[in-house]
Amino acid sequence: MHITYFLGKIARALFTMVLVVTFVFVVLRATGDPAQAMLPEDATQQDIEHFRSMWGLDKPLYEQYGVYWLNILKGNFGQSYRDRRPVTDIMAERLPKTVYLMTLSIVFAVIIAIPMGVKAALNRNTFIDRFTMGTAVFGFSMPNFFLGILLILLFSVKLKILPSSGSDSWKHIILPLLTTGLAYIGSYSRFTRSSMLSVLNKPYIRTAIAGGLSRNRVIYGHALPNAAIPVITIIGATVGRIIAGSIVIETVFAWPGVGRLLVTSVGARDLSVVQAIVMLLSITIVTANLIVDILYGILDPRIRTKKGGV
Amino acid sequence: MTTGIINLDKNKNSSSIMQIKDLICHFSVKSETMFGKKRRLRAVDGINFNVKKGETFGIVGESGCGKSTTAKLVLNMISPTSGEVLYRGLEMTNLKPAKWRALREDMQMIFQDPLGALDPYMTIGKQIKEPLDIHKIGIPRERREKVIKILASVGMEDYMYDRFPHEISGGQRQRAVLARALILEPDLLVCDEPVSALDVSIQAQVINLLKEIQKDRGLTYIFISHDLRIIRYICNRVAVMYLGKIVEEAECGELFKNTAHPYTKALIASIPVPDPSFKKERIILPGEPPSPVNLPRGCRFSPRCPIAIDKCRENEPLLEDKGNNHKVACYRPGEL
Amino acid sequence: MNSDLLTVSNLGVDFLTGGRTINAVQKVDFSVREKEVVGLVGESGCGKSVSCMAILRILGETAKTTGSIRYKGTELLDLSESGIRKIRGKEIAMIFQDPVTSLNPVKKIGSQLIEIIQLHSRLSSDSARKKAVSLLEQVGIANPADRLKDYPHQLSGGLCQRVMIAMALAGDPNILIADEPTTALDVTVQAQILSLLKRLNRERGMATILITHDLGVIAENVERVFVLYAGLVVEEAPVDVLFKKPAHPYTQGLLKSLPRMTDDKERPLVPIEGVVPSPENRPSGCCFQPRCSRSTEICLKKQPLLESLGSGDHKAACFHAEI
Repeated sequence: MHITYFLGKIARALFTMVLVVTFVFVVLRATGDPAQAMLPEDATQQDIEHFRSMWGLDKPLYEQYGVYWLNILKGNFGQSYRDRRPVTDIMAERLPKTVYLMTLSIVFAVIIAIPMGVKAALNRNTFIDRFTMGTAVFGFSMPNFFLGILLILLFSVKLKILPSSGSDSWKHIILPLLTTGLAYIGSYSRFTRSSMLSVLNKPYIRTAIAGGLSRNRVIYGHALPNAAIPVITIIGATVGRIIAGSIVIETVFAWPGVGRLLVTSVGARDLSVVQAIVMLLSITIVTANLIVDILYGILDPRIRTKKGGV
Repeated sequence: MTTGIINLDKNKNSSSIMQIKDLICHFSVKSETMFGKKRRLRAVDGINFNVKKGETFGIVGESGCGKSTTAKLVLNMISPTSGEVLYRGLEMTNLKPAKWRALREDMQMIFQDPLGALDPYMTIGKQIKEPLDIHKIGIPRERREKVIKILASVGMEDYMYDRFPHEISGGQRQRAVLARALILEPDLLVCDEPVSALDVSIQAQVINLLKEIQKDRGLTYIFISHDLRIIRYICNRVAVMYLGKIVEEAECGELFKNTAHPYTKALIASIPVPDPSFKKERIILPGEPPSPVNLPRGCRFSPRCPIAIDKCRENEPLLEDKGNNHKVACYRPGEL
Repeated sequence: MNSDLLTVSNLGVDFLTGGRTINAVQKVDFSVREKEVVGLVGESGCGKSVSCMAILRILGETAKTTGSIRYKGTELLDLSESGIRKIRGKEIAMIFQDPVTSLNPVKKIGSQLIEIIQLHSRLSSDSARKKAVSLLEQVGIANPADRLKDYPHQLSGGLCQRVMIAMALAGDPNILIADEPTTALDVTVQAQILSLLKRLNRERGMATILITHDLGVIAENVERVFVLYAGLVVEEAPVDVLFKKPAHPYTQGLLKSLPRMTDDKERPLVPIEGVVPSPENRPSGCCFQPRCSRSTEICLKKQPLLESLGSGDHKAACFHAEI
């Protein structure tokens, strides 16, 4: 049962990825000549011919599709005409920056938010609960760009202790990290709280207490593993959206990652880069969903095993 | 109630109102992977019975025996895999929606959970009146009167008309559900565990009410329950189901006096008797009913049966009349 | 004779929710002697489950408990949090109505059982595992070693209840509280579980408090009965006395309203008219007075106390009790 569950999930994820690539292929061709769309207006006839033969645009459609796949599997996403460099190289430069910032934000948020949500649930309707949940609502209802600008005004302009843009030292990451982290803390902690509250009312918690287990054993050994299951979904959703989520924050803090690259490339109509980022974006979402599914299977035995004949 | 669209010959076949023939309902259970094989859940696996006009036909069994699926099949709420459901001789399973709607007024159902069956945002009176509005029965002014009358007949006072479901007790809610079922003056009422969720003292009120109403209106009941005490009290004839099949069927008195199937016998012996001085036969069955997905070979009851022999584990006994209109599906009837 | 192991007296439980106080238990008195099986019977909302959860103090923070609960001379309501934890599972264990959801869905049966075993004894994980297997065997589970690897959802309701009982036995308690242990189970499985509980009581000398709404279960399984109504004990009697000579009009009404396998089915059942009052709308005077045919003026004014009716063991809270 185990293995088939996981294989099924992986097969589904792969299938979605194939669909995404095919979709991008179709869209590029549906909007006219890809060579014209992908290349700048001042491209020479030679450039266009080169592009055509590289992507097999002079061949029949099914062959083009094959060539397209071949190129993608080789990691060849074409050239950025703005930088005159392969898209793959540019991505290799930018992606780690985004992953670094966003992963750190999520880890930071998880470390703060989960204990915060548990604490709030255990002290339901007390000052602690209201205070932490008030902070949480503030965190996720504040737009990223606005909070970012506020932080820049305070720490960079007024206090002059932290830089407002770039990624050169560890100091540069503090403000973007705080900005994204706070939003995540808001949603994770609220989710942890409500999930924890519903679990604490379950009969098996009563069983654990009636059996004589200590408060901590009941909370961390029995309640939290159950409460974590829905929280994982929310975290997974933000992991899947790290590229999309990085667009605003990287623009505000001039962080040289993929999000900012997308914004500038769209502005410059650098379609090869945009195409690569769109694919990357979908693939991260699909992968994150796959990981959530697999984690779900590991955490919740009801999903991976079925009622057997006893 | 006669319906304009179809003319049912109510005199023909007058003794039988509902006939179930070789009814089978299988569900396919989704496998959890995309490559896994689909499995069949045999909820109802070939049953036959006849419900006579004016009687109470009981179906008794434990969870997973298919009794609630049978109720849904009888009311055409789900489609059978095969078999026939004949209402007054008319095959219902592939009826056109318009014709079916007309027949629908004739048959009503009440469930175990009255709170779930009522709309929480509508007053009791309005919910009972709704079918009248939908079917445009009577003039609007008279409808309210009719509802108050029906409320009185289930023992509820006028003021209940404007109450919301959460404002009344469990027993009152079940009365309200009953009133809503009766407003269209049906001929057949299917009751699925109607008193199981109620407290003992209230249970008795509702049982008495159901009996009274049947007498006054000449209703036919199909009464489904897991509780043999209640079945015995209210039914004329009883079918005992186990894993999708009827294993025994007889007149109520006959069933309890000359119990033939070992499962029925064990069911009766399992009922706790509220009398400490009563010395009853102890039969404790081993195990629990297997899932209707993995049916055992031979007789479905054989793995738990105290008197099963090799033959039982190989062949499935058929439901046969042993005289006295007493049908049983067992190779060793009456031996336990 | 046996002395009292557990004495609950003058127990009251209020729940404070949303600024309102809801009185779940008004005044409950009962006792359990060593090795005895007692039954608490009553309809939904009568306070039978709440009273028993109050013994182990597992009602949560919104509950306010008053009165006295003495176990072997110790006042349980005065114990510290760590003090009551030593009682739970070790001295008094409890099993619940819905066995499947009473087990943690994400943990294997084995890990849940072993956790409890190790809590109550200093066994190594290896010997705790062996004890787990033997406990499952004692509660009649076939292939116990395999079952340790199962998750609760893979087992039937009856098996889950057996696992719950095994977990309750892990601390070798003196009292087992069984709160509607068979209500969620099929009747043939109910018979198995009840006979198991009987056997454990006999073999281990473990006193049992059986909470149920089913008078049949009471008649077949317990020695002394406490009938509860609207948060009060209204009658107390040895089981044969209760069924032969019920004194309180509520008990009499309950017995008359039961459909039985033996009586004439053409005779209508005799229900108790009216409804159980909700905690917010309790009547003045005797709590049963609005539904009672024997009620007189005094019943409207005063709640009668539970008093002995001649023989010491038969008590009723009624001004017009039939002796």
